[in-house]
Amino acid sequence: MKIIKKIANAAILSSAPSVVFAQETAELSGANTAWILTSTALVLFMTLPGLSLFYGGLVRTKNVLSVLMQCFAIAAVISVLWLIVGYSIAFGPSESAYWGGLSKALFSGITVDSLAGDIPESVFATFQMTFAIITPALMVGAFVERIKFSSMLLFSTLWTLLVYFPVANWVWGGGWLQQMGDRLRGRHGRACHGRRRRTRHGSLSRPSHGLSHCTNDAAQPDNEFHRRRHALGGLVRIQCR
Amino acid sequence: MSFTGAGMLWVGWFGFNAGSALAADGSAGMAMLVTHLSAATGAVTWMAIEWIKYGKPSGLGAITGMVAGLATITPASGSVGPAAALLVGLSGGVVCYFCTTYLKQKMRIDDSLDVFPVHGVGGIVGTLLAGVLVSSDLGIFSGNGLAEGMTIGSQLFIQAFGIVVVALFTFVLTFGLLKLVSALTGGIRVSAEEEQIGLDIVDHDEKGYSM
Repeated sequence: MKIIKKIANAAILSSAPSVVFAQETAELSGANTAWILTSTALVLFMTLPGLSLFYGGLVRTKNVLSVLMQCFAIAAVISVLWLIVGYSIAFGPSESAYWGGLSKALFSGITVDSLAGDIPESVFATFQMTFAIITPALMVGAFVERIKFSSMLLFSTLWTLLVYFPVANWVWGGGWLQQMGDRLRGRHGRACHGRRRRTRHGSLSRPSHGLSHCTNDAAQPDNEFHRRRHALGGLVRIQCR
Repeated sequence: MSFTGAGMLWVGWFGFNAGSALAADGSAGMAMLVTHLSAATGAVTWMAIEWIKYGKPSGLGAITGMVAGLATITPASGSVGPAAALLVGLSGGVVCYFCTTYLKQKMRIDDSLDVFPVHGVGGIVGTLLAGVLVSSDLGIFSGNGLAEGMTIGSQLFIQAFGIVVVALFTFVLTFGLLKLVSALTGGIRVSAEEEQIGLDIVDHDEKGYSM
């Protein structure tokens, strides 16, 4: 009897997320989609050419091209990495609190109809990609004029893979840091917020965006949004002496 | 060139912070407003410090102050109000300014373009300030209000804990990766001679400028 109960419970638990997900993502918001499309362009614009020019202008003329090249190459490589495993590790649906698994590798299962919250998942994934790009590009400023191109590219790739993607999961993708923030706020409800893309933030004062990392949720200062990117991107440079 | 890039960063940052609301709503609007105010305050602050200290404000100082203001407001952009953005930009400008001087001259850390003192320190300051300025009991400087059951103290604890955890993880992995990459590519740094020549020629066999 106990066993049956357990199995039943497990079944309820495992099916709960998809139910919640389905409810939340029923409708696409054109207004929100338009704004995130715009923002995606703006954030990519920060790297190409914003940051490239910003850094390029700060170095000596004999190094200008190398800086532009570093930012550009990072944008290209990280985009491909994001497609292959990045999005999945950061925002995939795994039950682990430490990474998102590989089930969305190569954007598996993402079609024109997939929604993330009330915007298309393709838009969400692209928007997040631009953040993954600018983070290693930001680091370039610490080692311009000094580093080998090959070392830079290899380091940026590995760093994004092993540091950025997992930390993005912890903080915005429903990972352990995000869960801890919720716990401290006394909103436990494990079953319904075991993993990402639930109503976790929805219990706050405004309707959830359906995604677990909306920085602008009212009263969510610990949402650690970009602070990570900056703190992170920054901390690394101390290493690059 | 740097001014062009800095201007693009300023504008692009609207997408960075206001887009992170993942919706076209009041949060996005407020995030954009505070982002802009903090960037402006950061630039003014940095210029003012240089003016007082050296008698002249520099162009580099103005854009660095702007970036410091942006980096500092970013973690707080979803939580604070417009008047608080002024405080955020001001703190970012002052703290980052002195960190830049200190880290470079006292600790002798080689960070070509001051990335850590501006973005790293700015991000940390902003993250901590978010925990305070989110409170709705601060009069004109009030933010969106703390979540139920939270106090400024407990919120600050979460903020600090997050910073420490991510800093540690990042530090350790980055250190290891740099060692690994260094071994794989025969040292990450180019030779002194190659530095003299410049990386345009050394790495790409092209020249950005022929002067």
